[in-house]
Amino acid sequence: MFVICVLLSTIMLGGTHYFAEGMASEFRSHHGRFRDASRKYLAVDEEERTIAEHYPAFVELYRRGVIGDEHRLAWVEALRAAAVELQLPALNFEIEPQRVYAPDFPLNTGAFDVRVSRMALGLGLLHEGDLERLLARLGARAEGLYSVRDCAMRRATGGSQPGSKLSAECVLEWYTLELRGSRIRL
Amino acid sequence: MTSSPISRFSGTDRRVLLVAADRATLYLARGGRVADALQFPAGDEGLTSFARYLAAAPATPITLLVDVVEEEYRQDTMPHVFGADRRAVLGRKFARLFRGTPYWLALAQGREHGNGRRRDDRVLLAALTRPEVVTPWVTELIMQRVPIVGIHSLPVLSRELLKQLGAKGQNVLLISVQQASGLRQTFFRDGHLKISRLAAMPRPGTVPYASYVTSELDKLRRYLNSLALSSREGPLEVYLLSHGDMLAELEQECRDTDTEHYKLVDIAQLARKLKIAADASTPYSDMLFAQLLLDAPPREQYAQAFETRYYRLHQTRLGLLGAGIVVLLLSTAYSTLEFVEALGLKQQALDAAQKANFYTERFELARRGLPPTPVAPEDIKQAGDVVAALQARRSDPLRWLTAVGVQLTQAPNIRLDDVQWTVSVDPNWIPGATTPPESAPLTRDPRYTQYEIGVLHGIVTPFEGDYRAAIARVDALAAALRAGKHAVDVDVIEYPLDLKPSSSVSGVARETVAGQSAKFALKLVLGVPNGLHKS
Repeated sequence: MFVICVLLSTIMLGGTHYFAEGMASEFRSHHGRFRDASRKYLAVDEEERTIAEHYPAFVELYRRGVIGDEHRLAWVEALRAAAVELQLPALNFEIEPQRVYAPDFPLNTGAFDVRVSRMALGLGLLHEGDLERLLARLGARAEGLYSVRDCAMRRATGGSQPGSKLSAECVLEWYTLELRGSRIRL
Repeated sequence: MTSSPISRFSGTDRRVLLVAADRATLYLARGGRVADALQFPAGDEGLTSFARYLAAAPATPITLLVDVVEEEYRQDTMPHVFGADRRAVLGRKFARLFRGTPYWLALAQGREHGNGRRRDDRVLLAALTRPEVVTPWVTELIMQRVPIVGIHSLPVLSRELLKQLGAKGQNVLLISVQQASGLRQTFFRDGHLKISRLAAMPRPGTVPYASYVTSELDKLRRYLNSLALSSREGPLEVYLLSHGDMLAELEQECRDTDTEHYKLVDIAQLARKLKIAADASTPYSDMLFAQLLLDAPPREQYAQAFETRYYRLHQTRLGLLGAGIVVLLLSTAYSTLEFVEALGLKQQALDAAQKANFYTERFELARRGLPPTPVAPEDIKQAGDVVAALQARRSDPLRWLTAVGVQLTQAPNIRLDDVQWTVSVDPNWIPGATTPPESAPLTRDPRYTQYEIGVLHGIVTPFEGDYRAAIARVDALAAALRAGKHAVDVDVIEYPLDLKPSSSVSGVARETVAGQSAKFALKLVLGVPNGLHKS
């Protein structure tokens, strides 16, 4: 009889606990949904302001290849145009596959991944100022956002490109933003 | 008293078996009050009936009450000891006085007066000298696994009757007639049982009842006088229990004297006082004792531990049942509370779901007025912030080259041949390296989060062998760079002449040799304030 009582008690307690847990879980779920929906609803005005204020810049960044797909062709064309304009004796490049960038400084990327493509440049220069001008033209014309990671310049020797007084080797990192696990399409 | 079908007693709770020499009477109680009785004659036939009854009836506990001639009493003293010592002393006394019976008990009756001697305990030792009167009934009960509460002595139980009668005299003699056993006379001195005697009682009508009782009373009185058991300071109070005509006979026969006071007690009235349910219009007191035993069983009793084991089991079972019911009730209460709370949560969940749907609909309506965006509005601003941070940290070697170039214009004897530059959060990083540096002489400056690090190689020209002058020019360049804004470290890696004692040096000391050069290498580390290269 004692065993039956204990068994019944256990079943009863277990059953009600299971039921109560189910109800609590359901409540948490619905309450969370309610909180989320009300927050979103209350944030609509703010969203409207955000869209009005920031969306044009977003679209511009997308168009410039900083957000969404990178514009490799535009980079190469900008490089070629700059080399012609500056009459550089030599210019070669090599672009590595794109990968996710882990910045060495704190950066909250939110729902986005920052991706990076490393570009190695080999340059023959007529003058020290050619490097500065090349980087300036690239910054102004190329569709993308880059940063120079490494650079080496040395006085040209006999083995250098004909006509070059200086040779330079630089590594550029081209950054693009993409939604994590998705693609941005406008 | 009647024999009744067994089925009538299925509702009984407790039972008393009054065991006499020639029969046993089973009293059945309902709600704790004696309600009916069954009689079983001694011998095989009676035991068989008893066994049949026990097999069919519910196994409720039975208390045995023994009223037999073969019960002896001894007044004795023993050392005032307790526990195991007391049991050992009593065991020796009983083994000596009542050899061969397992049924014995001791009643504590105060202590002796000191008078310079040891104050021993006064005890009344009682024993059933013919246990075979009881053992057949006990054996049958054990075989049927009926819980035996205890085996009690009717004279010992009589103490309880004195309380009901209000008998507080020094010398009290209680006389009762039991249908099962006969005429029982029990003497109490100062409330303590001293002696009891059982005499056969002729069948009613065969002898004058009152005369027979008084003749038996005379015998006992003489016996008391011979033993000097009664106190001379007070009269002997004789309580006679009877009913109806017999009680009337006794009233005629018994006259109070200076030494004897008679108190006649109507059994029917006493039964009413004890709230006995059954009809007690009888001169016999059996039922009174059965009820008294149910109401106030004496602590002292004859049963041995093994005989009451089923009762202990019964008690344990009752305890467990009680505990089980308590557990069940508590868990029911707790479960009910939790269930009610869960229902409340369910209601709240439904409310929350309704509100969530309401706000979702409102949100969707409001959202339709917004232009479509490929990402959530809050992410639009986030994207702009990330791009701004990356732009702010864009680096190129121009700032570093400018810092060097400005100083070189002040040093026309220095010609630059080779420059290696990089940007890192570690000021010890070496340009062109792919792994972190092994040593870290520079500690990070909290003002800077990034560093532009460059190594320049050059020569001092013209150079005509004056190493001291060449070294001075290199040092001057280093000092000028060190004085520049955000210069964290300037280190001359290589001088035109290696002056370290550990290195080997060669050259032409007295003349200028064509092609001889004064090479040097220098490292410049510039800090980037807050990681912002544009500042």
